Amino acid sequence: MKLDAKIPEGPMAEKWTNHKFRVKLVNPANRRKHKIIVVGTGLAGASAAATLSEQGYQIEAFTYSDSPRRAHSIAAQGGINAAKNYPNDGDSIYRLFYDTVKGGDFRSREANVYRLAECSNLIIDHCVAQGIPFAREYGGYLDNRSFGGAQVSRTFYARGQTGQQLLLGAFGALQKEIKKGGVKMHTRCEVIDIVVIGGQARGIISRNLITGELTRHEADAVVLATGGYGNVFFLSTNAMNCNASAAWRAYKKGAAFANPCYTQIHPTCIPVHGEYQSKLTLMSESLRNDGRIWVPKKAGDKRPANQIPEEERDYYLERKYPSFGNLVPRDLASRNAKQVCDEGRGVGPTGQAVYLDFADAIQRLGKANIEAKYGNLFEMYNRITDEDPYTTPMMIFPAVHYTMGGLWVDYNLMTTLPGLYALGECNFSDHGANRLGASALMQGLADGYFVIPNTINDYLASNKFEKVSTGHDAFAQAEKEAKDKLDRLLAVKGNRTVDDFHKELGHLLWENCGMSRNEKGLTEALEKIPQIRAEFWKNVNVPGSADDLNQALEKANRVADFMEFAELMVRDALDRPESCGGHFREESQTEEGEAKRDDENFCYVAAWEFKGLDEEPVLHKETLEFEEVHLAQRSYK
Amino acid sequence: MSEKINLTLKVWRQKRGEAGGFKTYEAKGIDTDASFLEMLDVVNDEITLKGEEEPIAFEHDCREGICGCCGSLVNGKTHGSHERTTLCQLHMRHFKDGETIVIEPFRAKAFPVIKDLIVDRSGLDQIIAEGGYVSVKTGNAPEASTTPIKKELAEAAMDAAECIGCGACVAACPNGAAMLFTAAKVSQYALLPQGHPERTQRVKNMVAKMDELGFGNCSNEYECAVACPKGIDVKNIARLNREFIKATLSQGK
Amino acid sequence: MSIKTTLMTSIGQKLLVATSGLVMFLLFLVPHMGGNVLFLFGPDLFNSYAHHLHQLVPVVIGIELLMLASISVHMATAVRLVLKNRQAADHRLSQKSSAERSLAAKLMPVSGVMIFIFIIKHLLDFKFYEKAKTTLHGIETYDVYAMVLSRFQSDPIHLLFYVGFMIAVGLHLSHALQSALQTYGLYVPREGSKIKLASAVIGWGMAATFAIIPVVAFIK
Repeated sequence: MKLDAKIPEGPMAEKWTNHKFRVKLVNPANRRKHKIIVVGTGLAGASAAATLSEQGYQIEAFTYSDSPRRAHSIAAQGGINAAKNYPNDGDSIYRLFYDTVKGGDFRSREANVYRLAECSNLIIDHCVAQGIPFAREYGGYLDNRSFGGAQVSRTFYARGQTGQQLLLGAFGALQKEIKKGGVKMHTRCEVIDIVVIGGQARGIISRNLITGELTRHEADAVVLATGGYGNVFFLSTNAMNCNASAAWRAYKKGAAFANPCYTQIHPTCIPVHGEYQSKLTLMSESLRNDGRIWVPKKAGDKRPANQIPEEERDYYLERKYPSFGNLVPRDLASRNAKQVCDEGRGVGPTGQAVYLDFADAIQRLGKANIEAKYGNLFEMYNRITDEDPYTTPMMIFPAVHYTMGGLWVDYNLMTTLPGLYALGECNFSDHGANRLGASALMQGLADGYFVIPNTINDYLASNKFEKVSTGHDAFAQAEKEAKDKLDRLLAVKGNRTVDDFHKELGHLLWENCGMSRNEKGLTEALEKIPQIRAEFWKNVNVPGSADDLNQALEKANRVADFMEFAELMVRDALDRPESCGGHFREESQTEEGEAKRDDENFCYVAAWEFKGLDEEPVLHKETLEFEEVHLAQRSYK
Repeated sequence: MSEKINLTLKVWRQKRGEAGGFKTYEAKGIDTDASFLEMLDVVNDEITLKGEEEPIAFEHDCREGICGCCGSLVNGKTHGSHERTTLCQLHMRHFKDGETIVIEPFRAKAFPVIKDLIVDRSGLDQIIAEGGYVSVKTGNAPEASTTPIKKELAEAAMDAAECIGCGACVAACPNGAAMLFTAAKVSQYALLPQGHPERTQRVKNMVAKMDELGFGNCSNEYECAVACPKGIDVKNIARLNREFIKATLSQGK
Repeated sequence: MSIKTTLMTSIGQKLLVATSGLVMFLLFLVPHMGGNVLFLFGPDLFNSYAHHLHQLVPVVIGIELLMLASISVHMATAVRLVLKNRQAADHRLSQKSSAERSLAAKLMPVSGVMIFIFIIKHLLDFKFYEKAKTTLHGIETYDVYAMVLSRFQSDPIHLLFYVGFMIAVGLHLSHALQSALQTYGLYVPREGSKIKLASAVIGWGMAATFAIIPVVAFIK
């Protein structure tokens, strides 16, 4: 395997323009002859499927949901960044690019990030034309707000439901193309495997989730837009059905997996409250603008918050980072919360929470003001916890939220498996080791609306596509493997539920490969994961049959992949002894206990090649060159 | 503070292609801080380990009230009818120890049951496909700030656009109508200038599709508005009616 | 889409019901109530009103034909809608309960059928009934006043029938008026709506006014 990022020549600002001119095009009359499969219909998938269909390609799109509108892009609250500079506060494409590279702790590819910043403005234009009801000012013009990691206001938003509105826009575009006949939509269809013929991705095996039927679909190219792998931790802010299976199958078929250890832990989530808990709920980061984070100074102090006097409270972020205080970046806020809880100073019934206190803000600004700003968040918190944040401090704890790692892709978003593309969260490309707020929506839509429609043609035009039939041996074999795996899962008939195993795996990863990692913990996890996996295959209980709607089987099949993926994630974390972004290695910290990057030895993308389940994967390095943004250690003191 | 409660569940069980019926289950030691779906998870784990039958199939995904997957009739009410709350955000503290809870799928002819509590809501997507969008191709768009839009209009459009497509309005309607759903989409684009070029065709086609799929008629009884977990208002239905009348009167223009 | 196809859509059908209903309400029910009220002011006024009405035979026949058309459209469409809705809702086996719909809304089909039965009975009672003659200001005319008196006096069952069926009218109108306006696209809010209130006041007020006449006739 050779990593060729295919970064275009020329100055940064001209690369994308030049590239679009240099790539080969497919004649409009010939586009109809090319079939492209799009897997996943969230922001990236729906926008890609719709746009490619507009260009005249034949599209088949797949989602496991009953409708494309259910994808988890819908849950994004905050907003979408763009370098419009409407507030006239010094923003530019270059600044958005700069902030994103720096925010990503210098582990992303400059050329991709620059292109992302370039596309950001087109996205806003397009989404406004689609009739997305973005927030507006009284003059009728678009409103912007500020977000973490930037000193300008560049975030466009639609109340607290920006992801929903953008997804519904892309969903509408997709429905328009379905109606026209350009897209054939397969709902309640899960992709089980990627089919490779002659070294090219030429199709997929999918499972109809109602009838259980396995079907074969051939195409000239396959586009994965299947999201991240956050659910490997069991508890995360991801939706219940989010999974890494399609990406993992791709990896096993020859696509390199990049930086799997980069996961983002969001600091303001509602804490875990019981064993039965199925998912975590995120609350907007904006709460940290007015809330003060604290824990008791004394370990094991179980008094209620209002009985702990001021001098016995430790406002640890304000103490350690006087200039940024409660507004330090996500990774710092999260890590410090874990640290104080590890010291036994955590609050709440589980001791795994810290206070986010609005008492001072309410006194300063008045309850009415706080209600106007955060009313809906307080209501959400109250609905879940039954506590009133106006009178008792909120309790928060960090939770897995986003994964920066993903399938390795070149500048064209093609993986190392020719004909297989990866868009959105499922690729690794734009966020480095840490993603800034309001950038996920931007990337998903940039990839789908503007990048892939301008790059996939190069592959389609420069390759000859022999007609393949679904009767080909490769299809038969992939289908047989899929069927065997499902049958094996059903045949175990053990004593533990799928969730039970998933929780065990998730807990191990959270402890050993979560907010802070060390060699000992990672080595231990690397030993334990194969044991849990072996136990899973011996003792899992999957009820029902394979030829029916069987949610336990769907879950089991996904968890089986997580069991394998987890090992790669831990291996990658072990292999990167530096600290960067969301990846904090305890061995690599400054004297003050802050993350220390090692640019001399680790300024690369770690892309892993599959060599067999019992073999160690091979590491390929894509060295990152920084021409525009100069490498510097972040400081928020 | 959380406590543990015991409940009796009467759950609708239905296999694919067969008639269904209620079956009784005991839900023991349920934490009052758990969500309704987490309660079902606990019951399902027990059913699974008992091994006598399959766990209860129910649809769910985001579990934070925005994806629109979940939804059942709980004691005869969609999403349990806690104001502006989806089933996944309904917590067990609203139930009493020893209570019997009846859980059944959303009922409507246009929502055939697939299995247990899962119904087929693809009709809603088909309505959207008839015009629930602006037909702009990627690349066509003018600069975003070209058209200012009155803040009030943008807000009203957002009120309508908040629909999560869960189908509770259809299930709550005495007539199984999809008027509130359709009205929300038609309203969003009737309010915003971007939607105007296609408004005549949009409302006609979407209404025609709604009828074709076997959804019922609106009798203005407003059950839908009470059931809607996002609080979509019936003023959107009035607006849909206006749009429809306007579209009919502007025949051929 | 032609007008015909439009009228066959769900909203089109609702518009038909609303329009035919409003035609009956405005061109028949309101004038009819106005005429009936004259009964309370004695035989002369009432018989004179009946007499003048008879002078306008072409107009009356025109309105009668229009009423016949309206009631046919109203009923045929309503029956069609109710049947379709029954099918669409799939109530079988369900424990579904309602939270918002009013009793009036729920009973629309029932009150509608009751009103139809009442209309037939009412026509048999007064329109297709041999009427006595009297002289009014030297002109021979029908003694409609006496006829009304005779139909109700010392017949409590008949009285109860009339009053009872007016409850159906009240129910039907109180939902019908607001519903028709919402169907025409005039926003009738769910809570605190003045239109809803007006609809109920007008509906029940008219029903009560109609009901007073047999009561007065009975007492006299």
